[in-house]
Amino acid sequence: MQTTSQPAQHGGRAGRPWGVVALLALLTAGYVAVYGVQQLINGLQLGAIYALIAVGYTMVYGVVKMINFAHGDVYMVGAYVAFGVTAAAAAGQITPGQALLLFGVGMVAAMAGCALLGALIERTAYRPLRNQPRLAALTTAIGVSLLLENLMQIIAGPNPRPFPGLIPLRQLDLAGIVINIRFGVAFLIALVMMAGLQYLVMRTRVGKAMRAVAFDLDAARLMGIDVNRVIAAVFMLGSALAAAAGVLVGVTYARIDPFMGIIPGLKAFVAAVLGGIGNIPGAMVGGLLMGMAEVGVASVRSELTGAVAFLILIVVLLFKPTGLLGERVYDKV
Amino acid sequence: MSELAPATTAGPLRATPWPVVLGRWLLQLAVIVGIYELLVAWMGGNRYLQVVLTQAGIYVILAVSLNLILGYTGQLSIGHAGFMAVGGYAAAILTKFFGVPFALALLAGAAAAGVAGLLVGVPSLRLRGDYLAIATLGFGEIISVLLSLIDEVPVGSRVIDIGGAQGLIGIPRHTTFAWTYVAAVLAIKVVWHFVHSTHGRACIAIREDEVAAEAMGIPATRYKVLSFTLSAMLAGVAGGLYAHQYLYLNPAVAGFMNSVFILVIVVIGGMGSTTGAVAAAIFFTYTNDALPNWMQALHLPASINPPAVRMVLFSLLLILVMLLRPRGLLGGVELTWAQLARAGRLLTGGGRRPGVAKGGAA
Amino acid sequence: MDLQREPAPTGSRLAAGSGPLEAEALPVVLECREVTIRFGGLVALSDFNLTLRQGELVGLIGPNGAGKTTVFNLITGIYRPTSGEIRLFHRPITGLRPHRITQLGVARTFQNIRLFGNMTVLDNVRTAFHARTRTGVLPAILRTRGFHAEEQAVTRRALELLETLRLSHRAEELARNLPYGEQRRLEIARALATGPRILLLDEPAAGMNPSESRELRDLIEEVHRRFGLTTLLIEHHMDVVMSVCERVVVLDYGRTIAAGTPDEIRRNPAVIAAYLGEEAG
Repeated sequence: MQTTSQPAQHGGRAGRPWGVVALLALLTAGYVAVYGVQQLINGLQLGAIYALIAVGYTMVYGVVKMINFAHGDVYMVGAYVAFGVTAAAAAGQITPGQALLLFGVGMVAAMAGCALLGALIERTAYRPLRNQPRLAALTTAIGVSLLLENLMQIIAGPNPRPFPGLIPLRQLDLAGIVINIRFGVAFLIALVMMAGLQYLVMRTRVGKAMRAVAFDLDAARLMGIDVNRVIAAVFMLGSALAAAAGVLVGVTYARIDPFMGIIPGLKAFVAAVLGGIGNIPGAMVGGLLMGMAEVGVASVRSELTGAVAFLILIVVLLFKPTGLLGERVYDKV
Repeated sequence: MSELAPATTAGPLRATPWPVVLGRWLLQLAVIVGIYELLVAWMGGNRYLQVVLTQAGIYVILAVSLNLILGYTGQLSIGHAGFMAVGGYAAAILTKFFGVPFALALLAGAAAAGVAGLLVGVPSLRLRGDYLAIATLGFGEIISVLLSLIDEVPVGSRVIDIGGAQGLIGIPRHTTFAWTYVAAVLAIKVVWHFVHSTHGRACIAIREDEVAAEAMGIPATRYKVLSFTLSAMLAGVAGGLYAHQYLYLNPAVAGFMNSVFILVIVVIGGMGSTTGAVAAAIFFTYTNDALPNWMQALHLPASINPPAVRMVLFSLLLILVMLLRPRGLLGGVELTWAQLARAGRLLTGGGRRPGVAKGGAA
Repeated sequence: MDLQREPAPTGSRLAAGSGPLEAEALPVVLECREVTIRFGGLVALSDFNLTLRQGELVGLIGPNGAGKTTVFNLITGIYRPTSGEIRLFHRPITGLRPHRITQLGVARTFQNIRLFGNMTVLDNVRTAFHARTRTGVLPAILRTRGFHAEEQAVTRRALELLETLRLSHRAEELARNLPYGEQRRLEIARALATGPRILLLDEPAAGMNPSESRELRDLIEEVHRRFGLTTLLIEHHMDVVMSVCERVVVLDYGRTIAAGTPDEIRRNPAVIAAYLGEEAG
């Protein structure tokens, strides 16, 4: 999609994916050389979380061409829903089996709840503004974001809450690499979800409809696709994945607060832009890269991670606005 | 046709006779001074009211300047608070450490903010829509982070401490209501004169259709940068006034929340309406401060903290206004002599229908 | 100094037309040489050649998608050619920004009307005078006498243009509220305000009924004559094109398939074939 104000430049390059793959391989190799394999693993684990959130941003942008500022807060709500469902039950002594069960319940509740929340937000706050100037939708999204944060602050209190440790706190040592079980499980779950998403988008009818709407909304409508339903589905899907990320973060970091969605939301957004906004595999790759970058920077000076995210964003926007896997689209004048 | 008279940048269609021009000028002056006197009288010795009104004046400048780049030129610049902070810090450093006179410090703050505007604007303004929004937001945050990282700066033989994350304290008190009022009036005037000129038309054309504007000979990038820089400079003045009112600056001033506050004022007030921006700025700063008092009167449970409730109401209002009037409450509507004249004619029951120049066909 | 080329055998590249002998003495104002543009894999225009001489009124026709508006976008700098060269008054303008090219004397209207909708009719025209104004930003803010004088001059000339285009009664209306035909006239008024020497009209008669398009045809002729312009006209209304243009260039799939006088074009079998299935007006 159009990111710069110049209409129509020419040149679409074939065979680009290989260049990107090579670049990524090079980056990874360089990263390991500088930081070591342990940091790479840490970075990938964190990156998987970002990827789950980033995918939601990118899907929504793909279909309605808007940046859903409230997405990070849906992630937060997911964490709180799981918290609300499991905290009481987990308070006493429970077996690891029960804990895992609770984890599953919490996950399902969070994903379902946020899917509904996402659909609700889309229906009430975004759909009426679909044909209005971009700023109106952007401002409304900011409003929804603020609303979610502050409502949660009123409901659950402004202080961080401890999230129940539903996954055992243990470490595995594989040939010198330390893997925290919680992070490892989170990573695997995230991978499975992303694989599932990729399958859904590329191999099912619903996914095909989503891709059609992302490509050309009006044409999709003319082809008989119920555009409103598809958009709602996209929001629900993205929100569910963000909620999952929220639950995973709650379990791994053991604390949640009403404003926990702001910074990760921003970083995930940068990840989506980095990968090429509108491009789902791009968001996944972007997320992993952001995770790696953050771990690398944090080992030097941890306050800088936010600024580094913004820096990456600006560098991408200025030099390659379409991101790593994005494509140039031409503007008809 | 019940539409409000269109905002037009038309000066008089026929040369206005000079007595009328002089008369209008004097009338404007009288109104400006009059309002000032009224406000001062209202304030009495009430410190609190004075603070609120001064704050309102500062945000009028911020709203009016953001409206220039956002409402008139149509560029989604949402990191405006960053320029406010740059101007504020620059002015404060000059007065606190170097004893520079207030007026000069304000101008220096404006210049510094202008430079920041150029640095941000030149690369960013090639981007479109949402991307520009995110980039400017990003720059605002980067300014905030930079400010929080810098504490001691060697200048010549001295080392000055600007506080880093703790913030800059001990800023001398210079801001008074008078200063703020004059600055606000000047800011409004500057923006108004800019907009109602060929340059303003160029900017509005860019907002309406950048491709067509270029086709009509308007160098779009140049005007976007110009509008951006001018807007940043005014924000810098507001920042200087802010610093010398609260005597303390911290990097959060440059951050997202402050930018959003200014953005919301402009968006709700009405994009492309200076009148709307002024009205909304006054309304929001007033209610922002007055709300905790009202809430106390309602005897809400102590656990619900006022800032959260204020934000919930604020965000609901924001969403509501966007859904009902996406262009803002006074979007595109301005208070001009022509409109006042029309209103006058309407009230006195004679004259032409509004919105038609020469009694022509509808 | 003749820059025309000989027609190639299979009609793949044709001369951009040769008018009556006297025309060759007139100075060349615009040339396109072997201009080609590609969008990804799509070749929108291929080896396009055109020579416009002072004062000509040339038509550019062809089925939809033939590349006509692409030619305009290339000339006005919105697109950059993949290869080839464009010269304005003998000066290469490839790569110049659109506003610069307008300042050099080329103005255009848009196929899908692109007015400044939320501005008044008068302001739309006054905006187009911008490139011809001299007052800087500071004088404008300070409201100097020079500023006022220039504003009034611009307003006066804008009103004159509106008068010529019969839009004076609409001066204070918002452009987006105008009826369609008047919007098209406003597009032309706005283009004229930039003070061009070359005018590119992109389907000015689109959507008009026969009587409206006759009026428009007269308007085009009048404007062409009164302002001493060189005009390039894209149109689908054949009655307008044939009656008003001295010569016509025909595009199909990005290539020139014919060029010549209206009569020659009307009888050209390649042109008729290209339009088969389309209303030839």
